[in-house]
Amino acid sequence: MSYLVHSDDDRRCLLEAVGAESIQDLFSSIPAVLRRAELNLAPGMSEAEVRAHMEALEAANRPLRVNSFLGAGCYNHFVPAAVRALVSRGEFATAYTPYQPEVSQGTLQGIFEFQTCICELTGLEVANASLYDGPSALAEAAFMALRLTRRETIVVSAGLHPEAAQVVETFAAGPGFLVQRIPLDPLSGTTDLTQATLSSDVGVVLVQQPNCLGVIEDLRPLADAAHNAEALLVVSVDPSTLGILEAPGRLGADIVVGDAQVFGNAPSFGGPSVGFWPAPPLICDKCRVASWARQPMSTVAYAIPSPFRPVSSISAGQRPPPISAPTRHLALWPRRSICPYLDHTGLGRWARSACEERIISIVPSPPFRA
Amino acid sequence: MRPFVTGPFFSEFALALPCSAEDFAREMRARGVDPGVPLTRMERGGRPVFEDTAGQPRTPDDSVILVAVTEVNTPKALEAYVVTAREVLEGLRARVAEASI
Repeated sequence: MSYLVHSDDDRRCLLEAVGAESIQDLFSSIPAVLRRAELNLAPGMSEAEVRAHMEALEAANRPLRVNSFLGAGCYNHFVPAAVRALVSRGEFATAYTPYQPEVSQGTLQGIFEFQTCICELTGLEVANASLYDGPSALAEAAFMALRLTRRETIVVSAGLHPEAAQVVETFAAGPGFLVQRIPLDPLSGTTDLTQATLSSDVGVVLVQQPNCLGVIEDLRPLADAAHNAEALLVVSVDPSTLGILEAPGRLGADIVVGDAQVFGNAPSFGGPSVGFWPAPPLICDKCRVASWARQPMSTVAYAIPSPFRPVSSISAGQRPPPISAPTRHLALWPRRSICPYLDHTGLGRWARSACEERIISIVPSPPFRA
Repeated sequence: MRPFVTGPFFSEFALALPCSAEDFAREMRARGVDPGVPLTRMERGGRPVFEDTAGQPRTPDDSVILVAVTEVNTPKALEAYVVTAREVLEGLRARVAEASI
């Protein structure tokens, strides 16, 4: 799509049409103290100067090479050349969700394949079409669990990446949900819930697999402890480990979230990334029923985070193309499409889908999987 | 240098160093190896990432470094890490010994 800037005359006409004197008038509802009068911007540069400036910035980079062992939540994995070739195709080069399913079947089929990959890896049956990143998926899952259990306390393992925990705390501060922290076992570095007492107001327990020290958590006892307290277990997982580690969904996790940066996305200063969120159908159904019963229709979207693409029912062994209920068309397809906000993780999702086939196929006999 | 915790790990592990993790990382980087993320950089609100049941740090977190290894780190790179780490730790130890004389 070509982009043509507005001329001064264009701006003048538009301002007259809305009855404003200047562009600044459009921001008059924002308190003046919050508005910056002048931006500290350098004078403009010629194209040649910009190029030289950018090259100087680029030269200061220290790209990750084989001698980099940085990680801590963002990992440097090999990205096959096919991934870049696929995601650079024009039809994928938009972050926006297609609104017209009749002209978007390829995109929608791709989203469906992404969801299928996530379901296969995590051992759960329903996945969404991605969120911004893993931590926001985690916070969404925590809130979803609280809605289901109708409780108001979130228990966070100290093994959760501190920045992810911080996102959860930020989300929880708004409605005033309590966030409690469970320490790691000092010797093994694992979360030990068996000795902890979960109060009757705990609705969800959040753990990470592997945890922020790289330690593999034993999920089954964690799930049992959470379920004994009638809370849900949400596991934030590094999906690249799931070719070897057992799928959390088969170990009692109620909701699994994670960050797909490890598949096909460069670390790039921590992003862009792509979050995912699978759960069993029972949880989705319950959540939708609970929300339908308690909320006006406009807020049903918040029952399940982000859009997801269902396919019509499978018959005679054949899989039909996705009907792919269009996102944001709640009024038209309230029972099929649920989307709280726009999906901006398109490229990451394609990269992941392109990369994931490789991940699954290179692990022929995973030792830890059942 | 020893493992910070004993649990089984995947792709990433924490090492407890006999020195500041920031000093170790700086010296390693000067020799061409980016050795990982000092645990202190993951702190939030001034709270140590890892603490005991009483909420106290078990080991000073500033001596712990988180090392991630993926398929891009070749066996040769792993060997280079070990050799370089040995040099760096010996150098830091010698520097401490000199300072104490």
